[in-house]
Amino acid sequence: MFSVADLMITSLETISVYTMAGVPWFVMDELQDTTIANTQEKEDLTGKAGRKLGSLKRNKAVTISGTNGLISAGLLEAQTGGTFTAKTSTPVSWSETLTISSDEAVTSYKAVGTAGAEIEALYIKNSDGRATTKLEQDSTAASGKFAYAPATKKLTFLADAYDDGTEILVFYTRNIAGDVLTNESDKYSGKGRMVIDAFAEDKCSNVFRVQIEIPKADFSGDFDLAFGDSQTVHAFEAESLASAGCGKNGYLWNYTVFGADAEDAA
Amino acid sequence: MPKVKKICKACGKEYEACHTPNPNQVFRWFDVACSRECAAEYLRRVEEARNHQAANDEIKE
Repeated sequence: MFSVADLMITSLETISVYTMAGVPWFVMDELQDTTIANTQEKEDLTGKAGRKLGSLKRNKAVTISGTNGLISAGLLEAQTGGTFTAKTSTPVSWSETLTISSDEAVTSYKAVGTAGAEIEALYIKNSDGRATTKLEQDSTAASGKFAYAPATKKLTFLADAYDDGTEILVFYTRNIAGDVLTNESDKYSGKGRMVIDAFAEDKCSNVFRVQIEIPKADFSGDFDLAFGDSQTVHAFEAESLASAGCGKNGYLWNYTVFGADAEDAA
Repeated sequence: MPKVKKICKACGKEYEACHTPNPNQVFRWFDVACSRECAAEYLRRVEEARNHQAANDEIKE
């Protein structure tokens, strides 16, 4: 008699992904939902008057899809084929509104770039807040021109050209230390071994763990990151490939049920 | 890359330059001037002005 319990999944815990070389890659632990979609094609074999004699089954396929409540850095790597790099210095674009005082203003951060052209654009705002007059950076302040000293972050304007309190809009590039993932146009989504862990209960309230292993999950490069007035979630989709283990294993997934407090087996 | 019209910061002449990213933030003459010579002259002026400014700031301190 079949002895495996019928279960209610009570909690989807984590999805852990390992590289195909077996190195832990990333873990998604704020999963909202996950679906394992299983399909196969069937062609009826028919006889006299179209009666069914049998069937020809083929093309089994498994697609795993889900949604993580947080943007997962590892999942981004899997979906883009890129790798996060911890950079001690990398440029970011910056813009800010500053106020002129005594013919000077100070940028919040040090603008970088070609010497003498570190400030990409500077506009004088008029009384209704619109950025109207564009000034050019030069070696010294003059009519229609301003100077910038990166060492002191000081912008200098022509003496008495602008009243104290005049607002300016400044665009520049600054360097920061940060982690950078580049989505290269000629690199594609990757593969990994996926392990889905969940808690389950049977009708008698016995607690089990369920582990579903996908030996070779081929991540899709189709994904959206939607930013707006609702939560940004990170959805993913992957197909199980039956070629893990270099052709020795032809399975699409393993479903393992064990007691939540199960001891080690010999 | 799009070409943009710029004004040479040294001689004031209009010139055309390719707008390309500069991720390594090296000094590129075509970002500021119409020729290498003009760029060298502009860079000299910038350095002179910044050194002068730095000296003034030191005196103020």
